[in-house]
Amino acid sequence: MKRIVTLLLLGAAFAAAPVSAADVQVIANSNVAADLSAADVKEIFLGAKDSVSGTSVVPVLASGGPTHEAFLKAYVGKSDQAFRNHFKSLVFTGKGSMPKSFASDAEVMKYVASTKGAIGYVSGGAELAGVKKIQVK
Amino acid sequence: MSISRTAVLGTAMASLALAMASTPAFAQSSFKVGDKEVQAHGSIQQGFVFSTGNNFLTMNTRDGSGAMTDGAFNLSTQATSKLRLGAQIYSRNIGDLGNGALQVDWAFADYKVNSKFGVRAGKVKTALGLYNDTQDMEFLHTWALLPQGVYPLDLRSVTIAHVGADAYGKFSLNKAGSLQYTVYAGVIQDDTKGGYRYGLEDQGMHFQGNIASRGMGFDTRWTAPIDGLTVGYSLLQAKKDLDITIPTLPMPLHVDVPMARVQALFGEMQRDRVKFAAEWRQEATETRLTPAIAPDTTMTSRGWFTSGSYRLNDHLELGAYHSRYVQDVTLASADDTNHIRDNAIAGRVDLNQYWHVKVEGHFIDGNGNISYARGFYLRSNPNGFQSETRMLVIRTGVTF
Repeated sequence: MKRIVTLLLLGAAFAAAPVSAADVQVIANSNVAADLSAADVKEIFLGAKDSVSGTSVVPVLASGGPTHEAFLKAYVGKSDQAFRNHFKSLVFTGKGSMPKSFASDAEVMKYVASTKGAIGYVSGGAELAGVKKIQVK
Repeated sequence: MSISRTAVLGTAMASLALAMASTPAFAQSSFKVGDKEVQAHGSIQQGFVFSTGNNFLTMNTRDGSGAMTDGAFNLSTQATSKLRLGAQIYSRNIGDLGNGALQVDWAFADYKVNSKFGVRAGKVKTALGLYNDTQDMEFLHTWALLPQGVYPLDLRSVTIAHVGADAYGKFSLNKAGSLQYTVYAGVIQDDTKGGYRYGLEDQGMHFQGNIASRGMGFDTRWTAPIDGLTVGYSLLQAKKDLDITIPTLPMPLHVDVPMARVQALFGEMQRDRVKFAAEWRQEATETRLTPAIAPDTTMTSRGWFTSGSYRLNDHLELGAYHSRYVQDVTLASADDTNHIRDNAIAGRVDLNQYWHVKVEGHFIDGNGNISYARGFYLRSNPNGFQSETRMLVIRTGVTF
């Protein structure tokens, strides 16, 4: 038991990797408000908030990778595993749906651009096309 | 252990996991009905249990048992921006429990007016403590077995769901975080293949008709401004009655439970890769018998656990918990027949995003009272109980 506890503590000490909000851009369909609070973004991506200023919103995810990790770290505060489990718990209790996810920035942008209320994220260096960049306050 | 059944199930799970590995990371099995998207999700789990001391959960675990299979399948759709419809079937075969029968796990319409208020009507999973509504979804948890002092696998149906209605919502408390609530009322369905009946039948009792149970309660949880911290309190108050026959009694016995009150106080702290959780549970049950062959009683039981886990990387998570249960708080808790204590250490390996394997060691002390059996049953331990049980649980599951 002592070894397990030691391993847990050692692992925790080396866990954090430096990521920041600058590594990702939060984007939205043109019908979504241009400014959102960080709390709004977190609630939207946890499925707890489905409208902003009267507009229905829906989160769109990257399937994985550094942008996805950076977004979760900066805005949601959950590990990828915990984030997936959160949505699985909603899906398997009937309280929510699994969000759409896409493998590349281009696919995320294409879906967000064509879907009313869609909010997603792409890498910090991605050139935006057909979507609105959200200023997260 | 049925090797052929286990081999077939293992092959099916591996095939499913490999097939899913080529799909998007957030599984989206869906189809269209008209212009509406219907999502389909499912899971299947298989466990293997080896123990010394006592047989556990109606399985022959001392010889090694693979009689631990369960699975669920659901369909759901967002019918309108406010209306959501869905249903899930669930089946399990845990030793003598469940027998593989399909049951409606939940099926309801959910009308969400806004984030502050919504209603659900139908069969709804009951919000109670940290994991009551997700206790069957072992893929969500680090553990192969949730702490049995609070979430006894054999007695899940006593609190798992109700047929009725919920009102729910969430309020922002600004800088103080947010408060989530659920208020509900309904009928708790009888589980003819569950541990509650099985334990009473162990003592020679026979049920006449169904157990009628009705309940109401609420759950509230505060998401604190401290990142990752949630604390909450739940209350379920139910009443039920049943008719049984006992070999030594010439007439049927009517058992009236005018009050069965379950309270849960819980907290969870999850930050990045680390998760700590704790829950305290108290159950007070008032019982009256007709004819009055014994005086009216009110018994209070308590259980609690603390747990900690750490995810080392995408594939490996380690954790440990301590769980306790005291059957009757007015009696000496040191007595083996009045307590069950369990220290567990667990390792979870995620082979990919859909398939995981867990290996878990349990060091259990005590076996509880056979009159209120919980994990340890007379039928599977006919020669009496040992005071200690050591147990290895291996559980694997696939989710899509």
